[in-house]
Amino acid sequence: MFAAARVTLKQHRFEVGAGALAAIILGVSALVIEYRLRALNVPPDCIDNFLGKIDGTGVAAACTGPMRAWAEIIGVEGGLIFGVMKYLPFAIGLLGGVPIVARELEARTAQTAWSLSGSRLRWLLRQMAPILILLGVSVTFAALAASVLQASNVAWGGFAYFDLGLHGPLVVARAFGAFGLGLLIGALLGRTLPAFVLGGALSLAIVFAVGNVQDAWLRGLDPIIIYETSFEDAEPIVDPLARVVQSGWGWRAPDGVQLSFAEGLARVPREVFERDDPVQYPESTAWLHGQGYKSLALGVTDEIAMGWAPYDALVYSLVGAASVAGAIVVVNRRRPT
Amino acid sequence: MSDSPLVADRFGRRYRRTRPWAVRGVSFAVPEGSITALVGANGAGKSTLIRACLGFERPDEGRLLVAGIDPRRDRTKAVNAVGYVPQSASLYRNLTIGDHLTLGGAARASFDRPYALARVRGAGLSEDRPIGDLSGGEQAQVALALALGTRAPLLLLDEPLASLDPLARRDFLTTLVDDVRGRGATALLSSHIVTDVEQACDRLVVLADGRLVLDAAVATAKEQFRTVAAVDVEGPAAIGTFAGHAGELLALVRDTSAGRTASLEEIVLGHLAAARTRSTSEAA
Repeated sequence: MFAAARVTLKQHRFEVGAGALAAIILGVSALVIEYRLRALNVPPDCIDNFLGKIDGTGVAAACTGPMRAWAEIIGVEGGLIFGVMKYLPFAIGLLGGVPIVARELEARTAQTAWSLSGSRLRWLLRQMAPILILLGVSVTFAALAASVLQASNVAWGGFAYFDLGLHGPLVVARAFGAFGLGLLIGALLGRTLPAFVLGGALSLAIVFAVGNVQDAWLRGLDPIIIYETSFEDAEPIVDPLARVVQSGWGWRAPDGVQLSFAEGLARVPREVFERDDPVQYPESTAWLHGQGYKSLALGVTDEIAMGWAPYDALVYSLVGAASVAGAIVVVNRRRPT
Repeated sequence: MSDSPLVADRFGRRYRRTRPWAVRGVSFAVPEGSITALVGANGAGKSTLIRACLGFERPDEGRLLVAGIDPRRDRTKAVNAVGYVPQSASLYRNLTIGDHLTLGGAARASFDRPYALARVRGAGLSEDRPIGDLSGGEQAQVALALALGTRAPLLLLDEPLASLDPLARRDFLTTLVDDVRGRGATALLSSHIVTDVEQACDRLVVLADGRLVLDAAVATAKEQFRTVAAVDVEGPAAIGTFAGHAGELLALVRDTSAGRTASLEEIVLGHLAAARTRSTSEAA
């Protein structure tokens, strides 16, 4: 069994090696950054002091040096890690999934493989298993290392919601989704490079679609009012240090009634509304403010917004599972050329 | 007939509805323990027939039975009864010979690695050589060793000789014949190089334009057919006329005392010429 797994990995050594190496480099980098953050030894008092003064004024002089260094490391280097993490699981998933069937068809070796193995299902599982295990372990390591870094960011007042999908189990779910998608497209097209390109495009489309659903879900939650603002003043309702994710806008009518953004716009005179910029609505906003309406920034707490995480994991896991199932059907039915 | 390792029963396959049949109405049985040559011009349907035995193609008409199993109903069982050598040695260029034998062992429980390794070594190859470094003939030997390693009762060989030099063809056929005769297996060897299969095969199946034109034991065919100068026969008596090696026009005739015993190549050429004449007149 191990000998066959070794041969499978040897067949796809470039893709699997590149994917695993990228994940390990990213994970080690995240741990090194975390180590450097801890090496700064920022006193806990400084953190409390910082969290109590969001505008940065009045932070103890002894704290400013280490805090500036901390902010630079987490902002620049940590930002790079999370920036790469946005794409890495998809790239690794496609690298692992696409060549498994596509290369066999492209190189016409499928006829040898499928004539030796009576059950194509067993053949496919035997090909998938070592790749899934090796890349799965690598991606999990990178995802956990990124989680360690992200925990430090949250301890300093960062929003967990904004890093959603960039660390932890969601990264693994995304990689699995891309793996399945790559496997299926590879089996359908039977060509490696076009399958990579199409897989990448479809992955982006799925991320975009899931992002839209996520925004709609966030807007559908019962919001709290973050602040009210008119021309003259901005009146914070929620403590600025409380982690609240803005989910939309609304209006407070002069009689105190809360309106949705669309309900407020419906009260703007037609001639003002129709000549207004359809994205920002500056003239309509000015008219409403002039009438005594106040803009409301609406949002939900970071904890509530993080309620999206299980859905995110479910969507990508389902994409992966459904695609693997589809690939099994395709492999079972198609000709080996 | 159903006891035969391979039975084709009115087998037909058409790749698209708008295109002509690749194979149609083909019925024959491969006797157990025989090496049967499946001969025909390019596009005659030889590969289609062999690939259908492995479930790589689905019959549109009729059926095939491999070791009594219809590959459409139970492909796994049918494939497990077959050792297959594809048209071009479809091996993994970045793997070694030993890696291929490992894959064979993982894929098929019955795979006899020491036996396959002995065949490889018998061909003068070592298992640590990468496939990418091998010549076409050596790759064909590895593909054959993989098929023989399955110890399957039926071997299907899809034009494995096409790209080999004469020496490599002889080595290949020697290995095949030794194995088949040694363990009483059955083989169907597709080829359009008739002179090579003449020594190895004891049965001949000829396809032309997707139809069966001859199914006979080699010895019987040689007894039945004679070759005469085309000018010496009149119309219907000739099965087909074809150009001889010296450029003369020859005719293949049956059951006559005239002429000389036909070679296997001439028997095939005569039948292919007849099929071509028939299809030309049908088209007209």
